[in-house]
Amino acid sequence: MQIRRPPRGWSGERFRSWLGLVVVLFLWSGTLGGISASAAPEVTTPRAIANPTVNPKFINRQTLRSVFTLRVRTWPDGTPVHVFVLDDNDERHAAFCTDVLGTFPYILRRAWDRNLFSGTGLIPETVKNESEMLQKVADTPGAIGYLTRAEDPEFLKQNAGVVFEAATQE
Amino acid sequence: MKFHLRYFWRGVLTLALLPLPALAEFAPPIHGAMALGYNWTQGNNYFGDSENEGASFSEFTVNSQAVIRPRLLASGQVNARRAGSGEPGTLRVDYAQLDYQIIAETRHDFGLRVGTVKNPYGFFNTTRDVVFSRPGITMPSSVYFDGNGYRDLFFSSDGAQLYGHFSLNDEPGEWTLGWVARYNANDEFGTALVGSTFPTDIEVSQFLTAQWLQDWAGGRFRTGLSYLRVGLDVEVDTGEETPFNSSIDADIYVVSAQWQLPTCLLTTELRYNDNSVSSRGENSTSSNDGGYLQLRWMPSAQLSFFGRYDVSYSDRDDRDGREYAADAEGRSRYSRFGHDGTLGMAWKPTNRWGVYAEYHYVYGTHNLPRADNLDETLDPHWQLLMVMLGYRF
Repeated sequence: MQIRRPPRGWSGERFRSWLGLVVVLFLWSGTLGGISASAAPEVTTPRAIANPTVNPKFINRQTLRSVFTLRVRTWPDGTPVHVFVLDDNDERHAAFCTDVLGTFPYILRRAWDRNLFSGTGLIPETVKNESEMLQKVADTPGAIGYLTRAEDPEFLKQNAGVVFEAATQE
Repeated sequence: MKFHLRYFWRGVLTLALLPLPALAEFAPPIHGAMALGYNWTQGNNYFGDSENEGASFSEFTVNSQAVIRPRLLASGQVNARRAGSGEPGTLRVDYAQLDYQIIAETRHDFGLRVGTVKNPYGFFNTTRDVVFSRPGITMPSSVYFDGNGYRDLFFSSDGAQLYGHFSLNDEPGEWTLGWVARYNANDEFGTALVGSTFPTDIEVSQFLTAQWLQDWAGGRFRTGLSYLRVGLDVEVDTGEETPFNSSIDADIYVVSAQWQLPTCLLTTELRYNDNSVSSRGENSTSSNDGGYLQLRWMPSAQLSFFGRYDVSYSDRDDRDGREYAADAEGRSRYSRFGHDGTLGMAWKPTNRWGVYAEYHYVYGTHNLPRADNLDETLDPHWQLLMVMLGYRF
């Protein structure tokens, strides 16, 4: 006959170990910019922006979906694709996903995770804010990202060669 | 199972060191995930002596990739999973592959992967060991055989794959065809398949994979068809003069579908197996199946809840196991099926953190890990409560 002991409760040591792990990891993640505690930004029309090395004729809504899921690794001229995005929980990211790509952040995340954890593709680089987004897209050949804030059109034209707005889809 | 402090500190130290390579300008990016879980059961054991003491389980994955040429990608991942008696937490190579795009257009591509590659199967097989990228703390057993000891067969193998992406009516789709080199399966798989403790050698003599994944209606729907062809040569040393030899051929089909809405995600996958066994000049055939339906509700980007009903059968012609039990003394019909009702939640306060919990009420012992329940009288009705904390980097 099997003797069953009552379930054993959490010992103090075990509890402290778990608590320790949580605290250490939380602090560690904070130092790497993993916590997104930014104030709610004002969201205007989201637009895809690309480095001037990207040929505008490559960009339309259908290719944008392939590019942002990183199904496409190189532009047709052979330049590697570099994708920049904001944090998953950022509402500007959500606005770009729904308004321009016609998808949801959780679907993009799943596609990137599949690339990452099966080794079959690349993942985007997450930037902290739109200023960094603009800077990185301007500085990186083959780069693509997005902006929602109003930006001086002349400045944008010089630094990001391609601008794709939701209003001009297809 | 005891919670060992030394493992905890080893984990913290590893994590603290991980960002260092990233600081070097030329080092390839390093990503990964780790998760610690705890479970309590009533009725049977799951992942260790969970019924009496509760059991902890953990997983650790780290990967890196390098773009060698614009079309040539090298990537590798190691993984360790500690979950009960069947999975001791040994570090193993999960994938290590070279991926070359022969054709690379924005709307379609075609390429080749060689090395240790992930086997495409269902929506989730290629990412099943990372809690952030599977449909819950547990995988649906009916399709993914979690707990049955077949994981190593399914997960990744040495071989080659052809793949391609394409557009069908402007909707993205992809296909993969895979070939796996002949290899010897591990002992755990032998025990799981034969169901005895006799020394068992299994050679995987044939292993082919095929998959087609397709988006529909602007990505609102997603479907998948997967096929595996597995041929096994089995030799069981029963202590007699000549070992017991048999060969098993299995055709496994999986149909997958997903309906993706802003706050809801409905997923279903159905598996069908056709098996043929030949030993000592006799042939027999059988078929089994299973499937699940899962509805996830996402009231916010951080929080989600799900309900899942998962069912699997060992024999389509004997779903309640009565014929099996009547054939020989001491057989339990409850081992021939599993009905698993699950409620779960996931909370992702940031991109890096995930907190998971789920409760299972199960009827049938089909999906129980054998290694955790040796010499136990199994309870046909059992419950499982799991919590897991995950961190990704």
